[in-house]
This record gives sequence, structure tokens and C-alpha cells, in this order.
Amino acid sequence: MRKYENFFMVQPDLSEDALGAVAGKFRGVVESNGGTVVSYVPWGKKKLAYPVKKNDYGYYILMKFAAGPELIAELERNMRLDERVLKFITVKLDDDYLPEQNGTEADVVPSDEAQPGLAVREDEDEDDVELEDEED
Amino acid sequence: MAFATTRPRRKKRFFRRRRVCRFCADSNLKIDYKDGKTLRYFLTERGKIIPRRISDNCAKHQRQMTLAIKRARQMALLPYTITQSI
Ligand SMILES: [Zn+2]
Repeated sequence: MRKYENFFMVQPDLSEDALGAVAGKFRGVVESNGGTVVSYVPWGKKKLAYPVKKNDYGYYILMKFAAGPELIAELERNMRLDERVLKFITVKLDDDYLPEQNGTEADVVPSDEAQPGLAVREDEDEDDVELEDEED
Repeated sequence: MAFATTRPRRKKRFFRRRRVCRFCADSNLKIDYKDGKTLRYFLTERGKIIPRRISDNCAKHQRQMTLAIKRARQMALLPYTITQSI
């Protein structure tokens, strides 16, 4: 089996019940097609960088699972047909993965802050080396 | 500029000191398409990807960076463009 993650965004105004139904549906698609859900973590509501179907916010969910490649088409078909789902992306994490040997993963929602020590220095001057050159 | 007028036949050329790729230097830093806040450092004000010669990313990490930014755009975590309202 392979390990994948599906990161998807649903409408921002869904009730707890509706979010539970979404979770049940997509976990079900994975499990009923021979896959194993490794983790299912709601990341919550975020402001979008651009409006998506007139929504300024979206509710993000990250689902990791083990499956064969044919399950991806089935999962994505279900997501495409579900009007609650606004966006989704599937990324392969591991080519050779057995969930029973790796256990479950902690359901951690990462910090909403940028990683420290990353700022690109806007002012490059102090690191510039100034050389002079004869013209021509 | 006094400098320019005293030596008019010379022109200045700037060579930026080569800095090291920050992702090579710090293995704790991760490039993740889901981490919009971090990726945003590598976009210009208008939302374009900052080129390697400015960001000092190495080729490998710049490749990972551009892929992550494109995925983040797809998921509306980052903008494709930022248009200035006039
Ligand atoms: Zn690097």
C-alpha cells in the first residue's frame, strides 16, 4: 500500500453535525475501498487567499490514509460530487507503507504561525559587497 | 552624490555575498504546502514567487518551494496574484 494525504476544504458554515457527516462519509469511502484511515484532523476555519465559490473562509481538514492508487480516483470522484467540498488535493507521502506496522498518528493541528527564523531580508544592502570597476 | 562626482569615470557594481540556503542550514525548517504562513515569505508583495537569486534557496529547495507554493495556491492558502486597487 501507499500512504497518502488528502487536504480538503469544506464550506465554512457547516454545523458540528454536518462536519461529522463529512468525516463519516470520506472515512467511509477510504475504509470501504480497502484503505485505512491513519488520521483525520480538522484544522478549522481559515481566511482564504481568494474567494472560492463566493466564500471568504474555508474549513480545512487533513486526512491521512493508506491505500492503493485506485482508491484515489474514487475518493476524488466523491469529493468532486459533494457540494460541501470546495477544494481538495491528494499528495502521496510514501510509496511503500503498511498501516499496521506504523500505528496511528497523533491528531495534531499545527501552529498557525510561520516557522521562526525564515524572514527573507528585504534590505539586502548590509550584505552587499561594493566593488568599483573602470568604465569600458 | 559626492562620491560619483569626484570619480566620474567609475561606476559602481554590486556583488552580493553568496549566502547559504536556509533550508540546508537548518534541518528543522520544513517546506510544506499546507504552511501558508511560512511560504508567504517567499512571495513578493504582488504574490509572485521570489527567485532563487534573491531568496538564496538552493536549486533543490527552490524546486520544493515552488511546488509547495503552487499547491498552496490551489488550496487558496496563498494568492495567485495580489492586484492593487487603484
Ligand atoms: Zn537547500
